[in-house]
Amino acid sequence: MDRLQLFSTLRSRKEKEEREEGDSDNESNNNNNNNRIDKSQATKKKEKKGKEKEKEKEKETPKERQKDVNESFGDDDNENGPIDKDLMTAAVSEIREEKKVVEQFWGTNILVEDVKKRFIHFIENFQTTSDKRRPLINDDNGNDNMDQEEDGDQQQQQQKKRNLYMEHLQVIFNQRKSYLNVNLRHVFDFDRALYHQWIRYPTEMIPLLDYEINIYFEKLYPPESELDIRPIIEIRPFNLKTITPMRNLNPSDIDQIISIRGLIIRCSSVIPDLKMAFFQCAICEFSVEVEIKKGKITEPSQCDNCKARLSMALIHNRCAFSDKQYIKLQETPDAIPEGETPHTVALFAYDNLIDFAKPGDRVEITGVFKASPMRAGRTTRTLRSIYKTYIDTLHIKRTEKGRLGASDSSAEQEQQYEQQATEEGEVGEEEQDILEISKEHERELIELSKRPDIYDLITKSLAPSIWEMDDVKKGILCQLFGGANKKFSESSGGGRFRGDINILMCGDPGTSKSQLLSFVHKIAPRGIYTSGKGSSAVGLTAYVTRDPDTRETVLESGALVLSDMGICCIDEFDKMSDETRSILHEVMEQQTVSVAKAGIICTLNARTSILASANPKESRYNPKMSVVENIKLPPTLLSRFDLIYLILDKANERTDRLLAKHLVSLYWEKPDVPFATLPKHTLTNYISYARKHVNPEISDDSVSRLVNGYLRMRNLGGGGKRTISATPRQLESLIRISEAHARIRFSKVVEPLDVEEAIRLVNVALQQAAIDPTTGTIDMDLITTGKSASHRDAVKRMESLISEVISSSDTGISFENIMNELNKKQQIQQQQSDVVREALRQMEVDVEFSNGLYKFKS
Amino acid sequence: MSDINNISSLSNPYKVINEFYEKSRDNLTNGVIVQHFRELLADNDVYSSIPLIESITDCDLHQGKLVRLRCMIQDVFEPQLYNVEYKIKNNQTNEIRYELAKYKDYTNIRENEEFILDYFNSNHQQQQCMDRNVLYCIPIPCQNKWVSKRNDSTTNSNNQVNKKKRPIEDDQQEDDDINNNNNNNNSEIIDNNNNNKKIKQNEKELKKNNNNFGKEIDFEKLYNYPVPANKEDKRVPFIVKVYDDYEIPQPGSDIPISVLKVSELVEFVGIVPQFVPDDHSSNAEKERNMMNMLGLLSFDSDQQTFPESLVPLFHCITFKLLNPYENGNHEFPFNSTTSTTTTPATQTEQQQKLDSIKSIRQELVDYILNYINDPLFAEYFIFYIISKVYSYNSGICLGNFSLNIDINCKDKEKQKQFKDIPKIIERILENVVCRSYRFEANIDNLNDFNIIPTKNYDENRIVSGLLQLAKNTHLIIDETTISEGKLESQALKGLAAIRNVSMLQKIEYDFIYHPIEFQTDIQIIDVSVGKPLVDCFSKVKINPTATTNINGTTTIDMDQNQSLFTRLQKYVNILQNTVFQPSDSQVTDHIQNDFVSSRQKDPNLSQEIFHYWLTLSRLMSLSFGENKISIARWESMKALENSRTSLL
Repeated sequence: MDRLQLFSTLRSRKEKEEREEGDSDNESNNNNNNNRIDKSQATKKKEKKGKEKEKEKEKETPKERQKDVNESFGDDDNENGPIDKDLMTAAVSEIREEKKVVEQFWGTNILVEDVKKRFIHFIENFQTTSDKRRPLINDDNGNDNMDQEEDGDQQQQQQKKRNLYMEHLQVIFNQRKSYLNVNLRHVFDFDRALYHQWIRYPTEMIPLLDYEINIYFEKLYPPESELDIRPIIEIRPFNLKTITPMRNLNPSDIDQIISIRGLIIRCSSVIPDLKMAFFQCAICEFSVEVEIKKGKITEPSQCDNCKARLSMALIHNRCAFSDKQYIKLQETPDAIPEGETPHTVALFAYDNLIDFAKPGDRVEITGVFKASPMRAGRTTRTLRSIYKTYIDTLHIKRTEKGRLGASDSSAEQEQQYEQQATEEGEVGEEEQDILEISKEHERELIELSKRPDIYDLITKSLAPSIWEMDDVKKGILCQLFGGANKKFSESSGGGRFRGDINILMCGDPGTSKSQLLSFVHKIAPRGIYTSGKGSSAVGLTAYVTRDPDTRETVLESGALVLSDMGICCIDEFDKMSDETRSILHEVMEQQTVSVAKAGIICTLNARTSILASANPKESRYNPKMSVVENIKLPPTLLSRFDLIYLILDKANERTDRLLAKHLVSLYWEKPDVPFATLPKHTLTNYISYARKHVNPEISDDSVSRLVNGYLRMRNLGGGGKRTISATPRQLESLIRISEAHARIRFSKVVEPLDVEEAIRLVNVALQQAAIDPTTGTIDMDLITTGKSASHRDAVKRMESLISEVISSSDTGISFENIMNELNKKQQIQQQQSDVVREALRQMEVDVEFSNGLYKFKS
Repeated sequence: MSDINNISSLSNPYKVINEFYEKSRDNLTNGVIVQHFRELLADNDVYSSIPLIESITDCDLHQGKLVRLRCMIQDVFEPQLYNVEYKIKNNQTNEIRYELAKYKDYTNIRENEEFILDYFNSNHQQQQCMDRNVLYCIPIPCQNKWVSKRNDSTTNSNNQVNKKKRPIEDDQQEDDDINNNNNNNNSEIIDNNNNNKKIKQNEKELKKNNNNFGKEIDFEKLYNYPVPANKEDKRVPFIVKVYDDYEIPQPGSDIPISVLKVSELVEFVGIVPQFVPDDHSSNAEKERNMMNMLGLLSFDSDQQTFPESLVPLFHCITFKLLNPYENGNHEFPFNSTTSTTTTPATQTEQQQKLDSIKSIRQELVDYILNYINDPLFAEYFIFYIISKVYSYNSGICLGNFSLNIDINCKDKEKQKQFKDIPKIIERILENVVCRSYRFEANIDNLNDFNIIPTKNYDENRIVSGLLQLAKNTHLIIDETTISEGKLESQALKGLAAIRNVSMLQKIEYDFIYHPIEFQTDIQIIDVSVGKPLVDCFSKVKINPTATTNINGTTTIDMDQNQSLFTRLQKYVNILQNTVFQPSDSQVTDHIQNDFVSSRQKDPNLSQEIFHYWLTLSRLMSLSFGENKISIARWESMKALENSRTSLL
């Protein structure tokens, strides 16, 4: 509102100047009995100064501001002591030096001239490196030595200095834009005092700085002719150091600039906001213009000319209006403490911020928090003591595009998007905020990453309520961290490879697959949860509707598009219709969704990781059928999953006992937690940080390991229909998983150990060690965990016996012969033949089996 | 001295608050006032002498006095900013005085005075503006009659007496003149007179208001109860304004947790302010003010406005959360506001309590058999009654025991007889548990009834639904009345929500843009013919040979009945508040071995069944007044399970 006042004043500055001067001086004298002295001082100053004094009037009329200034004045000495002391000494010295009348913000020691000077200094001299986000871990030492890194940064800055805001002004001049976005973090880095003044005294600072920038702009680009009417430039500050949680808004925030995040739940239509009312006397046609004061127009009770009472009537079409919009902002679901209902806050947006965001958008608002008294009891004898609070919006930033956890390619695209947005004249921001996570937090995370047991710790912290299944959790962790997206330059053929890891969990009912899914979808950036049964193809991809108002065809995104850059959890994958499933082919490899409907042909990005869970074909895993038959999904789809977990609920003593113990302990009240876990938000931060800042590269050593691992897998497959055979896709998945694994450690390099773990994960997932390659069935006895200790001992003993037997023969020895030999040595019964088989299988590293004969590898 | 002070604190808390305020303005914010009232309430006699209010009449009777209010929070509105004090100028003398505005909605001024709206004063700007929480509280839903009866008898009796004693005197003093109260007794009398006078006024006002509203107000919509209220129910919702110290800091986050959440049961202690009827004569002035409001056009269009004559205001000074498992036995001293549980009983104390109720179990069995002659059902029904969610451990709720009763049977006659079972269950529960409700899950109800609480952004409030109930509410889903027909999508969502509560004790409120999950504990019993619409934790089939009688087979006289009910209520109450002990290692090993061997016998046995067994054996031990599972109980649980499954 203040800003609008300013503009109206600026516009009519020349014509009005003289008349207004007199008027407002009178007004200010009448207005405030309390402040009479200050006011009269101000008036004196006004007479001396030229243009600025008009500015001053603007500033001082609304009384809320005065209250605020004083409120903040009280706080000043306590909270921002050092800054203000600096300021004071500066102010004092200035006074001594210049020895002239100094203008101050009312009730403070802030000098208007000083602020102006420093602001222009900031605009002229603020420099930034081009636009690259600062890589936080840019070398191996980066973790250890933060200072060194910052030095490096400065060097970088030296190389690519540019005056950001001067460039912006140039753009404004070229494109006739009407606003200048100012990143308050830049201000903070450049001039801390200015930053604090700005956010604490916005009611003074905003009109003042708006005015200054216009003056400055005019000096910089003088108007070519009288007819050259320019839009008046507004300053839009954004990106505060701190974001206030909506719940914590309280009276102390009133009349300060705050940043707040939320979800827009409703927008009103554009409201004409009365700025200046035009009254005319019904008797003598004498007219009066009344400007808005404190958000109100006071109707003149009698005509100044003919002294008739209640004769003044509002003439609508001669009043001045401006646009305004009422927006309701609600807390985002993740900001609501458990068991509580969301809070909402009212916003007012003006001019070209109107309709910038729509209901459902997640936004970050920067604005001034205001309160206005409300009188419900209208009798003069009673007063209702309630205030309405709202935020006067200065800047809106849609956060949907850059949510936590976006990886690099997205960041690039984001920047492109933002650039585009700015060029198109939208309110986009020119500079990406570099860090979502504060410095201390960052240190903490890096500290955490150095723990030797970080891998286990994180595994344990993922869905701690779910017992065991560590390997599945490790796989899901890799998915959360994700591999690196690879893009090839145009010269080498272009194209990109996905870094997202897809996981399928196929298992018996009651193995807490759904619980895992719901945990993941809650912590994952942009997690979306759907059930296969309830999803249709369009529900997952995108559908075309006709907007009821405009009759235009509108594309609405489905689950997969919505979870772009996130994880889409699909439960009951097997119960999905074939048609629906078929659209996943495109999503899972190309990571796009193509739509060709109702005149809209387009390809949408759907860079999602998919975490699906399914039941085996016959609901329970049938050990008599092969793995492929059990999963019963087309191989084209299966090969797109990087990890396929078979989760079998097999009755066996050891696991059952552990399970029983676990459950029983749950049931006694206050069970003790057996291990320390990371709190959920630390885990989320850790993951987001890694995704954002760590991009491991594969070392040469690891490359060879990868190749070997792949070859081994390829050999295992045998190419039959009954096993899941390794395809080149598997090599890619190995790479992705090892990258993700390196990310868990915040490591810049993919080490051999990452590769080993990746290979192990893939093997374990399919329980490949237990699959009989000829029949494709799982040898249920072989599932590694399913052994009693005595059994394992027996196998161990058997191994040594067998190795004796085999080594006695040079040419190799058949199974029957081994049995016979063993029989000779010790009286083994025929029933123990499976022990022998297993022992042989365990020895496969050293023993080779060809032509029905076993012999040691040379 | 302190006695006098106490009396005036009770009869005229505004005066006491004002005294504090006059001593120092800081007293408004430093918690001294709350502290004073808490100390007062610590005295049990004083505490129980404070009247409980629940209807408009109560409000009128006790305006401006310290009162108690027991209710459930239905919705949490936006916090309000308000003035702590007002600056008032006398136009004749130019004197300036300050008046307290905390714990008040309206501030009155005398002749020749005016408000100074730019109350700016640099000396104490800190106190000018504060925020308070606004809660919409409804009478505790589904509360059974015996609970409120007990409340009546304990608290409101002395008011009745007082009322008779009070003589009617002339009213010589104006009501707002607080400072003239030298004699406290006197002031009480005057208050009372004024009250009587005001009641008449208010009644007139109410009539007038009703006329103004045209015919009938949609009370149901206005009141927003989860289940429709009884026509005779005089209880009304309140808008409760809570001032400071209701938040506790949360470790690891800068957002404190509020203890006042939706669906909590709370007892507030505070003041019902003087009722100020809306001034209808000032319409002209309203129009003049329109001009002032133009700048804020459509700003408060979505703010809830409630006619004060129907939804009274309540200013809370202090409060305590009520333990939902404590069934109406509220004669605990008002000790600490934040503790949800009663003082932890020592081992021996608890043991004594448990011993004292062991014999009641058989009485409860007999009582149930009296209506439904099926011993197996009676056993499971007891488990159901005493079940509660005692722990939310790592995402799983433990202790939930929702029960499905299958009344399917081939005999047509019996089938007809069994249709009464939901009503019988309702009748049994009415006298035993503190909150119960029977929901007829027929096509119409499912399609039209609000089941899931939903946020209405137009009115900016949560529209209540069947599942917005306090913890420990026994909900009977009666599927026997269902007929053929089409279920709309809303009904399916509703059923899914009931299922969710039944299995996981979680309810997702529909906030349109996203759901918000709440933990709850609504004990669900579902009576179905054949396969139920709502899955339950356990399932019992009524023995086809059993007989049922809606009025009980043997009639006991009222007095006996009453004492029986009291005993049964005590039984449930004590068991629900018993802290269960872990069994010793011997039992634990036995249980674990049992599970392992059962799995070996039948590999299809899932881990769910183990959860089930553990819950069941816990409830079984509890029902016998034991706070540990013993091997014998575990075995008898298995035996009981066998007889149950053989019937299915």
